[in-house]
Amino acid sequence: MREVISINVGQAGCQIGNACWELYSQEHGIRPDGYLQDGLDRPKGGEEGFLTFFSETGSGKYVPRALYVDLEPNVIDEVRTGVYKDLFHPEQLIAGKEDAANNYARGHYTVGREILDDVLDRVRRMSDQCDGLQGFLFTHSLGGGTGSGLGSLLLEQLSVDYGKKSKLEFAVYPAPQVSTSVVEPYNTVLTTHTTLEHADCTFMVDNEAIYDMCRKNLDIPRPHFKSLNNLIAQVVSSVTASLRFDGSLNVDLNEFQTNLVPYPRIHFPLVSYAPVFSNNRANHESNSVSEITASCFEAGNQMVKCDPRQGKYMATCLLYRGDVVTRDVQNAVAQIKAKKTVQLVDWCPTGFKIGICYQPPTAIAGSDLAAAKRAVCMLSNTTAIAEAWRRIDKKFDLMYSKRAFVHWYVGEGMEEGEFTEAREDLAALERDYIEVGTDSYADEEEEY
Amino acid sequence: MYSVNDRICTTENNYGTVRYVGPLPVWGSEVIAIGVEWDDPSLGKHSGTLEGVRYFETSVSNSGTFLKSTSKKICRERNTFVEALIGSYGHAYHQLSVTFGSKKVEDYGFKELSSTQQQYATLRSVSLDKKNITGCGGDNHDGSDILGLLASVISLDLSYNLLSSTKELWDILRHMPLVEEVNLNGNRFTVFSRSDSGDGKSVAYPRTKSLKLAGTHISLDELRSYILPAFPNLEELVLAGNGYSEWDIVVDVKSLRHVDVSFNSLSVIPSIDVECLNLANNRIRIKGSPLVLSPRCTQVDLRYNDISHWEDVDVLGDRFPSLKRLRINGNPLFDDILVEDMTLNVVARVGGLLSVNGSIVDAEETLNAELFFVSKVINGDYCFNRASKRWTQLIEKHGIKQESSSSSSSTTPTHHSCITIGLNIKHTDGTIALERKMLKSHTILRVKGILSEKLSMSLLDMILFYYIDDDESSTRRVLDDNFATVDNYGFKEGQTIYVAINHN
Repeated sequence: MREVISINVGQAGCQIGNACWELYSQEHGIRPDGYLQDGLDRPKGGEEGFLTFFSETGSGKYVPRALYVDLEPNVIDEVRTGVYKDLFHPEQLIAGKEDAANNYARGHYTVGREILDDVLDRVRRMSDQCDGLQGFLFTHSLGGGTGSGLGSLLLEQLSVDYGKKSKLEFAVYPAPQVSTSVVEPYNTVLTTHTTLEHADCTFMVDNEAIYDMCRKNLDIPRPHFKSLNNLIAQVVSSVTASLRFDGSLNVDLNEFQTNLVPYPRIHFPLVSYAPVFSNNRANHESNSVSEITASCFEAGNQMVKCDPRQGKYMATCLLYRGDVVTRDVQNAVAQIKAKKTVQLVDWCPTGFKIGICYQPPTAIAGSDLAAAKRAVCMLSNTTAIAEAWRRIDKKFDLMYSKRAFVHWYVGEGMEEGEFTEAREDLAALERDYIEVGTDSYADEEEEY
Repeated sequence: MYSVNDRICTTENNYGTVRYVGPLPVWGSEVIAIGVEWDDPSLGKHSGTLEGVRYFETSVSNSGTFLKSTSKKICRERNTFVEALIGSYGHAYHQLSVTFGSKKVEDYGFKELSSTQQQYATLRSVSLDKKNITGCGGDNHDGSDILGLLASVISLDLSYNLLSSTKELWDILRHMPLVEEVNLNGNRFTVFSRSDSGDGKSVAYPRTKSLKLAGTHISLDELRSYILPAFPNLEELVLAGNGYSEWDIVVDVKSLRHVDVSFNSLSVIPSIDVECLNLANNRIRIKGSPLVLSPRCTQVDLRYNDISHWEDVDVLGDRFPSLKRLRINGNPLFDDILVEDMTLNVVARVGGLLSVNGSIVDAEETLNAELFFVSKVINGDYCFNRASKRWTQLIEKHGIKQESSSSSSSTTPTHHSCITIGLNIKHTDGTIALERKMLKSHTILRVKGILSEKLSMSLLDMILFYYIDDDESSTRRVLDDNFATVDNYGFKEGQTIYVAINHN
């Protein structure tokens, strides 16, 4: 058994967690109360894969291997009272009483520390129920206080307690359109610095990119957080589908993770997803395999705003989902090759891989994302994503040059030196990306 | 090789229907010309007339072209269903040999996928879109064997193929008695027949839940007479992009839950009562729609229509009493207003909505929107029919006193008087200096300013006075507070004010 424990931290993390678990339940045929849907005698998609994300109780009820952690009770109370309240065991929902007030230092040092032992205790209990724990899946935001502060604290502690178990992150990158505080750049830089050596692979989700997708592709003039989260859930589901469904057709995510991360620090793959259509267009856009494959390479389908033409691809994985035919996929890949949009660098040990999960994507009831018979999720390690770090570093510098808002952090017992240290680490990360990007000309292109 | 009514596809994936096959004088008798009516009219050059001779007629003007039958533009590949099936599913797996730089593309699971899909007998989903399928095929022995194996197919996708006769469709479907989803988008049927088993007996597909006929231009009569009888238990019916300008049939399928008639030319709301109704991208103005209630409708999509009056939005609540989710953005009515204003108005006017334009509207937002809306209506800023059921509902829900609304409604016609006042300004000799309406919020200084401009008199030399109730026997009151507003003095409409020269 290869169990995965999901840990959702902070408001954004918990809400995305909700959207994900709602979708997972529907994909596997689990009712909101944790029992199988009528007419099923076992979960959809094969039991073995299913049990990596759910555990079974004696009574035939299924419980997500998930933990919700937040420093303030509001969001968790919503889970406790919501439609899916019976899906979770009360032990899985941990809420503090005092929030982190968008302050990394409160999440990481003062308020967060108080709750840490409790959380680690629950993680320990949950991992005791696993036969062979595969790793952890984190969902948190980088801009908020709890997600950034407590999230990074937990990642650090799990590194200590669970050694080499892999830790994957879905991290929400802040965006001005859906911003809640001015100190988001501080929190982002600080948490990235702390988690850089603890997370094995971080899938970034840029709120701005998701917001634009909702507006343009889904035609929602004023996207609600719920709309954003449903879209994110669909993407998370595509990435984790290979872990959740068994059968020889489903390739292990680890296979891809190894391929995606050539150097430990360069672990931020760019995620793209297609098709993203509003349901009134669903019958006009044909979504053949070659079309969805091509749209994956368009900037409008990326989860992070950046220009892929400005970067170099180190590794690319295409994860197909649903009703596809081998021949169509092979033709689609040949077309991508012909268009020359993807140039893989030669010096990197990684390559271009394609995989398939035969389970089609499921549309969340009431979502504006049109149901599709097939979808594709592209994970690519491209140097273009460094643009996201440049953007946030610039915002950090603007504020930090005047030491604006720093007192809130110092007041919680953080040393100012940590700001400089974190900023330097991020500068080093930017340089790393430039370095891996320029290396490619090293040998072959040399002329005398 | 082509005959009239055949479907044709170009190498650039443009579809058309053959309308003429034969010689053209310009090309001489050697060349066979094919007259094509394109699905996309913008590709056409004429309507079937060349040098004054009419060869064929197009249903949309200027959507016709003549091609040489040897043209390289025409996609030569034409398959039967059986050929396309073998082409996509029947092949043994071959390792992909594409490389990016020095890296070979590695695939995982596709070998297994190929070998699974080669087992026709277990195939549950057949997707053969854009495969240039013209008919069923399988006349030879091997072909009919393969067709016989398809009994477990539940999902069939034949979208964007070249089927032109429903007979071919029934020949294919006959082998899939359990089929649940049928996608025929983008085919144009011209020859219709009823579903039969090949020997004259009619066949129905009771398990089929979803039927997609977008872009087929099938007429409603053909749909009702030939297609629908074969699918008695449909839940989803897609008729998008079929060019309907009116909806004059009653679709008598009780099980229907979801109907999509988007991208047509409807100008009124069709009388279809299903849970989820998609009317986007039509020309609906609502006004003039027959007032047939659709009590089952919970979800309606009215995006990109011609709704341009709030009155049209107001009737939606009555028209769809159980409406929960409404999409209405992209109508001319909302062109000049903020998204927030649109949401607020729609929430308050329609009522009962849980989601507007894809965003959830929670209880608090609804409350705010309704209260704001009611106050705006009472102030006369928004127009809303106060005799409507919705208004009564709003008034009762928020406990707003009826008289406040009735009193304000009686003042509505004169509500301009709340803001402006007419003043007669005379010289002391009784000649009229100025007669005009002023804003009540104007200060005396402002009034003096207007006068000084008119009379070319210095502000400082001017003195304004009036008599209470215009009774000249009462004491003269001087308007000496320059910063008081006109309203402060409590003037009546038509009050006389005298202007004199200040000699001090």
